[in-house]
Amino acid sequence: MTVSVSQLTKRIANREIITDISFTWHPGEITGLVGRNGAGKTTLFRTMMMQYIPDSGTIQVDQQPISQNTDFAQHIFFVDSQDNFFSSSPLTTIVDWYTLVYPAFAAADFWSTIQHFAIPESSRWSSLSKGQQATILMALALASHVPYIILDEPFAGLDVIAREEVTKMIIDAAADHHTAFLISSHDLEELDGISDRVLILKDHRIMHDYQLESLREEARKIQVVFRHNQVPPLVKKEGTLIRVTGQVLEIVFMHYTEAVDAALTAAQPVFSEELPLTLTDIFRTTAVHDTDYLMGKEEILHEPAQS
Amino acid sequence: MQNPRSLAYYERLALKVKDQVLSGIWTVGDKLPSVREMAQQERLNPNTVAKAYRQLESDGVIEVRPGKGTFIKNSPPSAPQQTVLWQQLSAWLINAGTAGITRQQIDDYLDTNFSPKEVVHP
Repeated sequence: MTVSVSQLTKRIANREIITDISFTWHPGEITGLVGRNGAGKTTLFRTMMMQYIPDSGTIQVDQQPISQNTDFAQHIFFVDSQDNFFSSSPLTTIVDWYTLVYPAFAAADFWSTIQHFAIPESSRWSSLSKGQQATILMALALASHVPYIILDEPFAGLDVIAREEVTKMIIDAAADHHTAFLISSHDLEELDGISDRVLILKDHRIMHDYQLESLREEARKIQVVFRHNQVPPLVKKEGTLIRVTGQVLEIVFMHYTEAVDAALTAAQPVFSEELPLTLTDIFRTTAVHDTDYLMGKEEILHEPAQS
Repeated sequence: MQNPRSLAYYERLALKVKDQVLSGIWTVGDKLPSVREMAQQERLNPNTVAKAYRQLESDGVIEVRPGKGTFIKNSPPSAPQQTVLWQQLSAWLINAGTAGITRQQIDDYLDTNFSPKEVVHP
């Protein structure tokens, strides 16, 4: 069973918030959805879940198109963290509602998670801390026993311990039940190790769709100082400058070929060192041409240096 | 781990386990954590851990006993692999010489970074 999103477009107040979004979400796959603020992440989720009616495009679960009338609660779980009915509801009310809506919802699983985290059963949503609310959203998602779970900013506002707990729950569900996750987050460090794949949403579109393990094999991040700041043409062409510290350039090569390697060696840089490539670096690579990034320093790479 | 290269995470984990075997943290017959436990410890995707375990199994470092778990295996020396490694070392030494690394520097590096028992990885 797969979830296929094809050519999904949503306009709000005549502005396209998501444009021509297509991807296939596979069973057991942990997919990160990253993008800068306002890129359209939450709108994508809401449109996928038919909270917004798409202007065009379809979502199919197992080749069956879903519509506003489709009940897909047995397949996909999503809680809108910004806009839900919880306010001051007691947990028991929230559980009753999920039991009604999600056919496989196991209330016992929910309460045992809650107990594990020492959250009182009599709590009301609004009286809980951010960390506790995040735990409850995860507990609801996992207790619903669906194969696909969407998490919208599950780490936002959490301290490091709470973030680790959420990550732990995601890893457990993926390992034990082969649950697939689609996780939007600005916490790229948290997504880095756990994601099979990352979709990068930019200007309302999916600009990149990376299988992270393959990318890590192909890509390289090099810290380098060139003589007289002379950057070899092939390095300019194939590399993306993500950071400049004095003379030191940090360059990411998405496809590090032998030719690039030869060009780097031939330039006899004053200093050159390979560094581990993180998801943060990959994300920076996609954002360097944003107007608020690097403040024009990329000219070093894109215009010939004078010496 | 010393190697900062952008390795795939499954490869990095496989290297780490090999390194731990060489430095005696794991010995033959020890049971490795399950994929789920290792994923928790390393905060990695379970698919990545499973891939690392498959790699370790095909490299003869671990064996899977169905229903019992994954265990460190007595890995016999592999002649073909050794041949490849010697060739790589010769090539590396030639390049090192060209780049001006001296014999003394290599000896010092080995003495500083490797214990006598732990031959392959610091």
